[in-house]
Amino acid sequence: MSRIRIENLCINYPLYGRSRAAAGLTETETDLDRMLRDKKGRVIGVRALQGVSFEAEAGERLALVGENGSGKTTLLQVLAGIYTPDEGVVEIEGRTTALVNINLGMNAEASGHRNITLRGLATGRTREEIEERRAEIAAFSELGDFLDLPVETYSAGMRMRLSFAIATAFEPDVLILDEWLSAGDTAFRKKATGRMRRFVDQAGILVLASHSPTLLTDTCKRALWLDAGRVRAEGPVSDILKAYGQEMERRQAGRDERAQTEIAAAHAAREAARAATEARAARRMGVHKRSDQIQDGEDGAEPDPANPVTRLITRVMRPLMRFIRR
Amino acid sequence: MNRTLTARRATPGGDLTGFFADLAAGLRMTDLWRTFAWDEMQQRYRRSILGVLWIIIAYAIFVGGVSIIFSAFSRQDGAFFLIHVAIGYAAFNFIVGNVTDGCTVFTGARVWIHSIALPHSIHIYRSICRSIFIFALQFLVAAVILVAAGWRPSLLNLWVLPAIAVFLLNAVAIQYLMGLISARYRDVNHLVTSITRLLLFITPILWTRYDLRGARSFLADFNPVAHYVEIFRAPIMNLEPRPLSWAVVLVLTVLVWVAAVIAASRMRRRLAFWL
Repeated sequence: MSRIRIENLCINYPLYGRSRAAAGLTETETDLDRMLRDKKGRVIGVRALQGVSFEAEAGERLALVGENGSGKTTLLQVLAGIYTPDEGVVEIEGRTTALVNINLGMNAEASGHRNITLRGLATGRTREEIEERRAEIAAFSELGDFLDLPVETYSAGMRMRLSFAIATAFEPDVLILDEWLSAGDTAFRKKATGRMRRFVDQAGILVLASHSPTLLTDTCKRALWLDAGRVRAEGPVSDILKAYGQEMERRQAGRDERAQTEIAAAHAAREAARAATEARAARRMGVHKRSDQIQDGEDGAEPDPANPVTRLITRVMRPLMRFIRR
Repeated sequence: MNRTLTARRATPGGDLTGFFADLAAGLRMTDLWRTFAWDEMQQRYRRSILGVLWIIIAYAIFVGGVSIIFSAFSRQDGAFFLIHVAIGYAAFNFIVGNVTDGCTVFTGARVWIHSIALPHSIHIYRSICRSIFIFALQFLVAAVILVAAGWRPSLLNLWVLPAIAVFLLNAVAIQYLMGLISARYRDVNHLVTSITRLLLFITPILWTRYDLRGARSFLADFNPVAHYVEIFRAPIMNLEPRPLSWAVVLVLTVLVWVAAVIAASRMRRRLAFWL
C-alpha cells in the first residue's frame, strides 16, 4: 500500500559562495525569515522548507499550490528522495516516480527509444518489462518516428509527452509531478488528466504542483498551500484555491504599490546622482577654463549657484553632458 | 526508485552504513550503469568514422613516438623500453584517470542526480566501466607489442591478477571520494588537473627506475602512482614485483577507503545540494 508521511520537514538550501549579497539590502519580512546568514550578515543559505507536515494515503490526489519560491519544487524533490531532510522525517511507502524538471532525467544526446530504456532501468524495471511497455509509451507520447531521433531535437512539449508517458507506463505507486505538465497542448492535457485519474484509482498517490487552477481542480481533491516554506493551509482543493487566489490578489496589489514607490525612489536617486555628476563636471570645466575666477583655496568646493559664471557654465554643460552620455 | 527502495525513510544525520548500502544497491543495477557507460562511449566518438578505434590509434601513436625519442635517454635496450612505456602508460592512465574522472563523476551526472533518487554509486560504476574499457583497449596495444617482442609467459605473470583487483578496489573509493570533494569544493578539479601533468613526468614511464641513481632513486619512491604502475607492470615484464610497491599500494588502498567512508558518511546526503 502506498503512503506518504512527512513530519516537521526542514530543508535548508545552502548557497556555497553563490551569493555575495551583504546585509543592508532592502528586504521584506518573509525574506528576512527565510535567509540563513553568517555572522557578517552574508546570505549563506535559504530556508526552503520549514516545519512542513502532512500525510497522504493510497488513492489520494494532492495538489500543491504556492507562489514562486514558496518551496513547492523543493518539497517535490524531497518526496522524490533527491534531497534528504535537515530536520524531520520523510516516510514513503511505494515505488516513487517524480517528474520535477522537464530537462532532467533524460540523456539528451540519446534517442527517445534509448531514453525509454534508460528511464525504465533507472526505475528498477527489467529489459523484458521495458520492451512490454515500449509500444504503449510510443503510442501515448504520439512521437512516432521522432523516438528514433535524439531527445535534444525535441520541443519542450514533445519532451514532456515522452517523460510523462514513460513515468506513468511503469505504474509507480507514488507519482510526483511539477508545474510543467501544463506545457502540453489541450488535447494532451486531457489525455494526461485521464491517465492520472486512472492511476489514482489503482490506489496510487498523486502529488501535483501547478499554478493552473483548472488542472488542479480537474485532477486533485485535496490541496496543500505552501507559503514561504511553510504550510499555510490544507483542505479541499476548491476552498484552498479560493483562499489562495484572494491572498495572491491582495499581495499583488501591495507589491504593485511597493514597486511604484521603489521605482519612484530609484528615479529620484538617479536624478540626484546625475545632478551631482553634472555639478562636478561643470566645476571641473570651470576650474580648467576660468581658474582666474576662482579664488585660492576654493578648489574642490561646491560651485556657487549664485555665481553667474557657474550658472552659465552649468547651462552649457548640461546639454553637452547629456549628449555625451547618450 | 527501484524494487529495493520501495519503502523509504529519510531522517537527518550522518550515516556509516549508508555508504556501503549505496555501493551495494548500485552494484545490483548493473544493467543501468552498463547502459549509461555504453551510451557515453558511443556519444564521445559519434560521427567519427573510426570511432572507438581512436583510443587504440592515439595510444599506439603516443607509445611509438615517445619510445623512439626517449629510449635514447635510457640505458635499457629498445624493446624493454617500448614495453615499459606501453604497459606503464596504460596503468598510469587507469589510476590517474580515476582521480580526474572522479572529480567530474557527480558534477557531470547533475541532471540525473537532480531528477531520480538512484544510488550515487551508479555514477561511480558507470565511470569505472568506461575507464576499464579504455584500459583494455590500451592494454591491447601493449599486448601486441609484447608478442612482437617475443614475450614468454611465466608464473610471475599471475601477480597481475591481485594488481587488477587492487586497481578496481581503489577506483571505487578514489572516484567516490574525489567526486564528493570536488562537488563541494570546485577548486579541487583544477588542482588535480595541474598535478596530473606533473605526475606523468615524475612517474617511471618515460624513464625507468633502473636509470636513476642515489638520491633521485630514493625520491622517486615518494610518488605513490609509481608503485601502482609497478605492481601491474613488473609481473607482465617477468620481473619480481617489489615488496615495497605492494606495501605502499596496500597501505594507500586502506587509507583511501577510510577517507572515502568518512567523506561519504559526512557528505553523501548533501550531494544533491552542491550540484
